[in-house]
Amino acid sequence: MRVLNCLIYEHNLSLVLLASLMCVVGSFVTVKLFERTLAETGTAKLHWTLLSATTAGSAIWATHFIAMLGYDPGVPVNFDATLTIVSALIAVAGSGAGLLFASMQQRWLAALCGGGLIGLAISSMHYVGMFAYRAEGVVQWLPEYVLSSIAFAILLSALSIDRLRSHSGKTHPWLATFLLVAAIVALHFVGMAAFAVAPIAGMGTGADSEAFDAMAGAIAVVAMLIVGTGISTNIVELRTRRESQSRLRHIALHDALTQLPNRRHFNEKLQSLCEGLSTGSGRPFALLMIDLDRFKKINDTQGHPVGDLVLARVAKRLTHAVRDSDLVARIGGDEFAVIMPGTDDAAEVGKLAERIVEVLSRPFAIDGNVSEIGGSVGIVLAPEHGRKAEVLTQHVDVALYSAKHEGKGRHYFFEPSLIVELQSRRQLETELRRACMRDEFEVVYQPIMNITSGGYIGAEALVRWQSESHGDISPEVFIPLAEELGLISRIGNAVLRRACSDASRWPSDLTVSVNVSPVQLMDPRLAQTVAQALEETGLSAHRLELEITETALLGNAEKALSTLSRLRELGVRISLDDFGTGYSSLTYLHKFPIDRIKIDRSFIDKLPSDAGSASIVRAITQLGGSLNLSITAEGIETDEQLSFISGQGCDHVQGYLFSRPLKRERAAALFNSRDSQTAAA
Amino acid sequence: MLQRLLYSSKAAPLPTPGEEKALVDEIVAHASQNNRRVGVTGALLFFEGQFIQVLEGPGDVLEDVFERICCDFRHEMVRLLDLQTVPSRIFAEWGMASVVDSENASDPLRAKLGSIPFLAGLNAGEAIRELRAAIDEAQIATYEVAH
Repeated sequence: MRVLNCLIYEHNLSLVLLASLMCVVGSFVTVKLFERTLAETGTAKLHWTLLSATTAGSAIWATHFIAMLGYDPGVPVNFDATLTIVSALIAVAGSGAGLLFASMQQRWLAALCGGGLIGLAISSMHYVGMFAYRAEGVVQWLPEYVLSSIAFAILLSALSIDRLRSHSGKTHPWLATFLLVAAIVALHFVGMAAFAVAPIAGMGTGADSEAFDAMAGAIAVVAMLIVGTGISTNIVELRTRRESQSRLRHIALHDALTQLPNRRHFNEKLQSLCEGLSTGSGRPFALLMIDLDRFKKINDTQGHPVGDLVLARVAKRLTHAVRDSDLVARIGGDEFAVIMPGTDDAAEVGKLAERIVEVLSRPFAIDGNVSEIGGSVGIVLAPEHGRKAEVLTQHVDVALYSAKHEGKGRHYFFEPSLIVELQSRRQLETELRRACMRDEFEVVYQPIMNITSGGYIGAEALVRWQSESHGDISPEVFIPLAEELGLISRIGNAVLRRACSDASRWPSDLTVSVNVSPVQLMDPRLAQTVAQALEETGLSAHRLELEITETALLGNAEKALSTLSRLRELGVRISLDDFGTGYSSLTYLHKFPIDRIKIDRSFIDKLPSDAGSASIVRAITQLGGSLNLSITAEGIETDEQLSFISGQGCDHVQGYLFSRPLKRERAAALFNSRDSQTAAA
Repeated sequence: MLQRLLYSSKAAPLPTPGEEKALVDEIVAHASQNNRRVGVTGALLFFEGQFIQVLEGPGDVLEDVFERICCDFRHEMVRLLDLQTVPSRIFAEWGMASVVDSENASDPLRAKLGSIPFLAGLNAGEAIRELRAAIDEAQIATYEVAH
């Protein structure tokens, strides 16, 4: 009753309202900041404690002080400045200390010590503040009110902190705010009820209420500023944290290079689609696995930065090729995947696969260099080919493997029979490795003729391989396989050495041509290997001709140029094989030290009936003539082809019309008998 | 560094003879506007379903433009025939000049146009010069028809 009387009759109501507002807003912000502080660890916790303590202390003190200014004891009043400031510092320091205790491991202990300390701080602040309050009258204290006010403050503060300590991950900020407000209000008004002033006769009556109003307003503004700063810091920080969390999630699920979803993202999506299938609620879907062809060569010859640029562009092209609802992911190095939800129509999926193959077959122009890669695609349809993620990924790998080994740049749907083929191919790989270790390759020689004299000018060395289980394997099959397995340099070097050795037993005017793969050309040791082979076999350099393909020059023009120049310095000649099939440009002929062009057999095949081929052959021979290069036509099989070619000013020819490739002994016999014939003649 | 690029491709799907002009006009209108903005010039030939296009401009810009072309599904079998540094532009007047084979063109012009796709694969420089000559010739013809 005394408390209620004190509140209603002895206080200025508008200032009480201001104090209440201060109290509620301040408590809310304080609780928010407390909550945050309790969740932090390490140095960040100390910073948050400082901010929380300052805010909480200012809010509590301001509440108390404004309410004090609203108290009208009916006598003149003034304040002791030092004690007033001390009371504010007690509020700040006490809240800070309480907060540190509130983080203790044991929850009830934390609430008791931390909350208790805060309650005690509020009480001390209040009573020190009261000592600063100098009323010109007879002051009387009622100890039972004092004690119960302190008890209320401690109990309610402790309960408030308890609500803030997480109960199995949950906190109750609203309840905590209410309890804190209750603690402050109870302390203040019960505390004020403990205080009674009797006027002394002859002194003035009442306080200077106008000055007090102004002071209360000013304090409210300053306290609100502090409280506002506290809460906005919290909000800004929360937002930044949320942003960085979503950024972290993005990073965890995306590939940094291409910005595509990564393997983890892809797996999650695949898993969820498969779960949909098993519960019966899901729709069918298609999974396409894409592997880039010839990508490793770009990394090897042009360096990883260019390789990375290619991958980024591949990602963009794939995104352009698919539907908006499809997921494109980068699974690893040069492997990508597409998930087409809601589709099991093989025709539609096949069409997308064709688009992908098409878009990847287009050239990449980077830093003035041109890279040609390509893509192979394996496809599975769910649930037709499987319902589980593991089965689908296994099957799609089988389909992809088949696509790659059936000549690349194509797509394959999974079929059970592919598994058998895959095993047989694996066996071929094993045998190729073994053949490489044991040097089981054979070199045969196809004679090259001078078109005008009809005599031999030399032969092209060709590699042959007979596998244990598969019999004769065409170089068109095993050379790409060897390139893929990284065996090509080894095979190439063996063939080179063998060819030099065999040719050294031929008449000294005959040359031998040896094919050099793009991988070998990019190897800086090539010139040294060639020099060594020549020295070991005693073949003079001018009798050796190395055949390179146009595509070998595409990768890294500078590297190729330097290797070719070194070979040229040795005295070895260079010819450009398969001319006209790729990126034919005068640039290359001007730039590179090339002695000879070999017209690709695909043009010769169609001679003389096909007008297009005829005009290409004509253009090539003219080009050769004007650049002073020798021209060889390969793959001559008919007399018509020969007569067309000889009419075009071609220098040399080779083909079945003259001779099939011959084993080394037969080639040596043929060349040496010619020599003896010539000698005899 | 000024570079010049030559590529060929096939329209997909093949337009009917009646659609050819509209297809090329649409591509050219879009391309010339974009090209002008980034300092690229060039020319486009459309002959029997095949595009032959020359682009010239700063190397990095040219590569970006070509990459966009490679993301376009209105054509297929894109072959890059030539890419090299050049001292000056050949098509400096146009963001994208164009010439389309048509019944109205003179026989010598049509023969010249027909030879360019062949030439392009073998001797890019020559093909580009022929293309420039054909454009000049076609423009004079248009001028005469108009007046």
